[in-house]
Amino acid sequence: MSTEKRILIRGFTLWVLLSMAPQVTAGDDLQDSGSGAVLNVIHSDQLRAVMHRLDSLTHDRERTALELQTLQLHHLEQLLQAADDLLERSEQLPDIAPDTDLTDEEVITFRAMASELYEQTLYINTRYRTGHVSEALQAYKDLRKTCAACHRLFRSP
Amino acid sequence: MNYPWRISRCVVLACVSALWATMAQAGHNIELELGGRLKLDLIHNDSPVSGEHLSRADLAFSPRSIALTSSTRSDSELTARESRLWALLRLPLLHRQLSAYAEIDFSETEPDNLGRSRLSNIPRLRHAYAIFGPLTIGKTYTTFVNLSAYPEINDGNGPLGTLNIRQDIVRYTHDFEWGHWQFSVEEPQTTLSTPAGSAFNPEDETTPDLVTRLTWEGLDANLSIAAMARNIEADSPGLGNRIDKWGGALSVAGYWRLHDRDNLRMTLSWGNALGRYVSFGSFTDGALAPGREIEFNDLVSGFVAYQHWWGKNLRSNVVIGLAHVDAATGIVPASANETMASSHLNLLWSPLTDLTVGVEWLYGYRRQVDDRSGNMNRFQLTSIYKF
Repeated sequence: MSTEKRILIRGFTLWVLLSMAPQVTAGDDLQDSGSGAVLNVIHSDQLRAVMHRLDSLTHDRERTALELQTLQLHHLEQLLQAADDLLERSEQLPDIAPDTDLTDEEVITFRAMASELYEQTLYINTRYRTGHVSEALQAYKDLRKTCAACHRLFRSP
Repeated sequence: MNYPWRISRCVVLACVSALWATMAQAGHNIELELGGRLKLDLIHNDSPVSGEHLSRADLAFSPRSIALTSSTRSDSELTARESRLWALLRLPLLHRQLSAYAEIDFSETEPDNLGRSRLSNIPRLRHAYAIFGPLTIGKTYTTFVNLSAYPEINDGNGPLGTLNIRQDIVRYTHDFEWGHWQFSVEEPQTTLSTPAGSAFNPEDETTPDLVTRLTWEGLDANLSIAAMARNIEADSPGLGNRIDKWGGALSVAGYWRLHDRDNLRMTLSWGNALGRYVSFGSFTDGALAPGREIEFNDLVSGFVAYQHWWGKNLRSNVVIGLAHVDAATGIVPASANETMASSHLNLLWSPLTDLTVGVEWLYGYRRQVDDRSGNMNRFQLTSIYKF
């Protein structure tokens, strides 16, 4: 299957899953509904630290592009590990957060997004290791959209 | 001593080009990437250093150029000289990857017909190096600097205490799980001052600068310690005989993420052979004492930078830098710089990932050995777009 087809299929799947969770589409509603606070239980400090590090590299003024790319791809390996942990914990929902009031659709959506994060990170690492660095970096830019989409739905401010 | 280094730079570029052509013909997976940044600065100086002629020091912080006499004249400049272009080539070689990188900006300065520095927009080579496995060869930042500690400021030269040197190097890097160790031989260059007050560069160096750095790299923090040994040499006809003296320097630098995205960055360096490595040539490596002896300048310098995030895309940086030389009385000229300081305060906003706009206030101060002093204020409005 070509890369473009795979991305299209993933995008469509994600869109279908997102449309299944209409009650959490507005960011301001997250705290009121309790969903955002609930799903903050399923977070990863390492994932957050890696993303902060990657963010700080975005604003770096003096490193060369070659150094920045090398560092970004190094941190992506750490991101893969963090995404794997997050995926594993999302699969244990709702058992690991019994006090939450998650709907089935929310659980499915969260798992799908965690899976998407893992898949994309794995793809980036694979492309990098096989020498397709430009493709890996482009996929990294796409990865940020997945992060933002998940945060919009499930992360309390 | 400069010519062998420049020749080696040309040889590296020629080899990479030849390799690229050969491998492209053989159908290997070769990647060429181009990029850069557009940087536009609107700069207002309350006390320009250049008099009638615009100087590079009016556009990028040069502490040694801070005027000692106050001026009633101010000036504003608009410049895009700090825009950059780069090219990156990756090609597989012997089951590894060879990466070659070159970058230019437009900050070159050329002398006018009276020998004074004059601004131009001639491209200037910032980086030209290749990495193959653990080896880095070519022109890039010295191993002595830890770029993780570099603050996000609009000024192109950085705060006082910055080790902002790019030169020809041959570097070996050994990676550990927790960081890396580096050792390099680097292009030497000696600058000495005379009791009469002049400074000169003998260009007679035969021994490269030796630099090593050990870096611990965590997700929330980065800490490095670097050491350097230099042989300060001079062998010009005016001196009559060859003189040299070994000196050294240490540097500790790091980055710490504190709360959320707020972070602290610092660099502290000290030694008797720091000289040209600190603050854009504000200090010489030593002084030529009567009797043709070299007297080192004991130098300590550093900066602390704190970055605070006001929101998702809005942040401020406050940076304070200081450098002080323990000058040998009677040998170092009275006009030599003794203490210099700087502070930067800015507000930066990134509405897009690749676009940043911001305003910055810079204050600079310098005092000479003879206690004469001066200061400066600069306001800089900057926009940067990376592509």
